Amino acid sequence: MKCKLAEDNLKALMDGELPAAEAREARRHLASCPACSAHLSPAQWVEVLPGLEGEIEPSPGFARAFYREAHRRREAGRTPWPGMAWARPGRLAGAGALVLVVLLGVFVSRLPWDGHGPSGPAGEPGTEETVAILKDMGLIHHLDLLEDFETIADLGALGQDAN
Amino acid sequence: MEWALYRNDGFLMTAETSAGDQDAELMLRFQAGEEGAFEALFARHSKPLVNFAWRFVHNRERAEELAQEILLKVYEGSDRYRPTAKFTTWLYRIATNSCLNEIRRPWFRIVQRPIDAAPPAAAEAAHPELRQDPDPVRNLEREALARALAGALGRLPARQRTAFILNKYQQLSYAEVGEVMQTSEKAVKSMIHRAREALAESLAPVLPEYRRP
Repeated sequence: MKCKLAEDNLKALMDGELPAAEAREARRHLASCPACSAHLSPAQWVEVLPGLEGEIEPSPGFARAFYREAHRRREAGRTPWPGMAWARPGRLAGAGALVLVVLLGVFVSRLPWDGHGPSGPAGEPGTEETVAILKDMGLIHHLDLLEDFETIADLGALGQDAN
Repeated sequence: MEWALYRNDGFLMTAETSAGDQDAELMLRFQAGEEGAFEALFARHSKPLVNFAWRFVHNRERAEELAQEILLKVYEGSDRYRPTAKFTTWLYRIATNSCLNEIRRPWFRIVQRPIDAAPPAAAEAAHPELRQDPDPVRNLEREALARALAGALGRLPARQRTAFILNKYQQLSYAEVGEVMQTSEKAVKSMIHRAREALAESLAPVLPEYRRP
């Protein structure tokens, strides 16, 4: 790349507007050409320096190591039922833990708290305790009447006869 | 945009498409069960990924381990890939997360690794024009500069460093860097500008020697 072209491209390079291939060429030239590099400001140096650095070649065994590990993981994660990828051991363990948590929640919510629950602000009073309180307050005077189903049935029969 | 799945077709059928499209197409073919498609992706991206990881950890062995980890995530998570964005955006999002997780580990901060000299040496092998400089002192200074830049880069905040590396070394555009980092193009420009200012300040004491005619 000619010095003039590289200098022309410097502003576009600084603004990030140069296509990748042209940017690479401009960086290499500006960083390696003694005449061009003599005029670069520190900020411009920062822009062109990446062109000086080469690239690391992966080790010769890199690809082999990768495929060995990929194969090992695939074998370890393979399900005994083809087509059921969701049934991997990790996912099954997660699903099992979730089911256990839900079951535990249901079990705890169904514990018999009424009448035998813990006292104090967190404990809810049971049915017997509630009825006793309502009686004491005079709100329920004839609770037994509510359970006198025969009388209620008779009242219903009288109504039908009258019709 | 149209996408096609190929099970048994050869590589020549897709060679005329653009690089980004070819990556996405290879990934779709791998999703469809063609193992060879992943091998092609591996061949195209393993080296850039090792170098990307090296910019964060400055250690060849660890960089290769990180690159392997990233490629395994791609290999195992292929069913989650959707061609709604460029493949490289998806790939570098995985790579960025892996590298940032690595440098945030407590042990990484405690163990200060010396910077490998490999990249500058490799540069001269890769670019013949850099070997034409007859001044051995200048060559040494050039290597020292590149090393100083790598060191200064390591002292930048993680997001500024990531944006700078993705744009300057991995050749991603500002828009692509924004997609990888899940931020706006404007924010990327701002991060790179701040990174450049900080790096220039770090390099200024080293520069006059190199600029001597």
